[in-house]
Amino acid sequence: MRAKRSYYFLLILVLPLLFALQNPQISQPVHGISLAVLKPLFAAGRSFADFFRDGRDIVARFWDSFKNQEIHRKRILELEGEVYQLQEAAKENVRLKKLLDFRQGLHQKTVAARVIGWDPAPWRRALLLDKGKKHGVQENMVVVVPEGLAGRILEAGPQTSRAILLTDPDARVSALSNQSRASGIIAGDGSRTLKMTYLELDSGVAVGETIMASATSSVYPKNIQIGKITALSRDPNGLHLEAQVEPFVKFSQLEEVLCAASSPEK
Amino acid sequence: MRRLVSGKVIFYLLLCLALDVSVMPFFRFDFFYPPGFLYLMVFYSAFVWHGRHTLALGIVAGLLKDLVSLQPLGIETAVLGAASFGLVLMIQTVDRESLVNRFLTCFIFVLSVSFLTWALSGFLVSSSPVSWYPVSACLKLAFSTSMAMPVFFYFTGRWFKEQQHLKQYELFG
Repeated sequence: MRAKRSYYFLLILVLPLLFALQNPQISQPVHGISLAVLKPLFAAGRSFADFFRDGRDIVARFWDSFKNQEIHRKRILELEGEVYQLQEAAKENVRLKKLLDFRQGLHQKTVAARVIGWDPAPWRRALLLDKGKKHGVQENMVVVVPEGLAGRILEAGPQTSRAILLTDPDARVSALSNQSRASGIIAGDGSRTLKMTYLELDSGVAVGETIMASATSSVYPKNIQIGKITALSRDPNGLHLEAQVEPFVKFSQLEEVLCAASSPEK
Repeated sequence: MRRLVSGKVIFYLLLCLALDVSVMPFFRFDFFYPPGFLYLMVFYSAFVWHGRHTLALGIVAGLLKDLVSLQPLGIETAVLGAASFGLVLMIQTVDRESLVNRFLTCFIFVLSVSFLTWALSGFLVSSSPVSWYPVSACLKLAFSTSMAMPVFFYFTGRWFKEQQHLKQYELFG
């Protein structure tokens, strides 16, 4: 009975506190501080995930070697392990060099960040990055990779920051097609593809055109590529066209990103 | 009686959080959504610890998810707290030993929590149009979490060194 009473008391105490926490001036610092405290945990989790993926591939290679090379099994396994480690290092080298070359081509101030977590809600597409205000990341910085635009920084804490991807249901970008110059709004719905809406019926847009960020956007720099149109249809009202856009960025495979300021460096 | 505020429980909760946020999302595919380990921990406390600490664990798990999520702070805490309370009441009327009952209860629990969280956050904050994708994401999450439940129960039982209890037939007044 006493335990039940204390539970009710806990509920009565917790609910007003939860309503008070809806104030952004309270909730944002709370988010920032708590993510700064939890950052080492998520960085360790990310390293564990990398180790687990490497281990899975090592197991697959091990099984092949066992079936085919029984006599020289030990030596081959050793060599394969060394080769695999070298290949992983080479892949990471290529990825980082690509990011560095891309960064040097940008005129904006940039901060490279590593993805250490994802939003746990199944319909959200948001990243947790290991850089924050102390490293130069600010809110509304765009998140880019060599393949194209990935999203923008929604919240920047002292040690970590959170980025919303283009595929998130709440993400919106003013966009333009490169050939017909048709303008519209890119929106995500949580799935892998994007939707471009509010295209004029007589815009002349066609399947296969590349979509880029528009100059009318105050957050995203213009001409950063987003994706390619794969299908066209009329919207339910029949007043505009809607386009299915296949993004260039493989959002599920993001490991390192660049956070870039919206305007060029002076 | 297991203490809630113990090193083992706190470490295990943080481990579940790290798995949910940092490890399992890298193994997400179109047709497969990774299980929610924090949900499984709350469910474990209801079914194996006979409802002790379930409400408190639900609130703590919801708070941990809120702190790392883009959802408004407090939504997952409130929903998971309320769902945990409902779970404690529900387990008193079902056969806790039956695997089918456990699977169905876990599925309903996770589906209702994720669906309510999505609905509340959409009602309070989000301006995006309603689509079917979040609903299918909630269903995939509930299914994968229920499928992972037996394995989670086994390893969690080993971690907390739970002893097998003899089945007791409870009399309902």
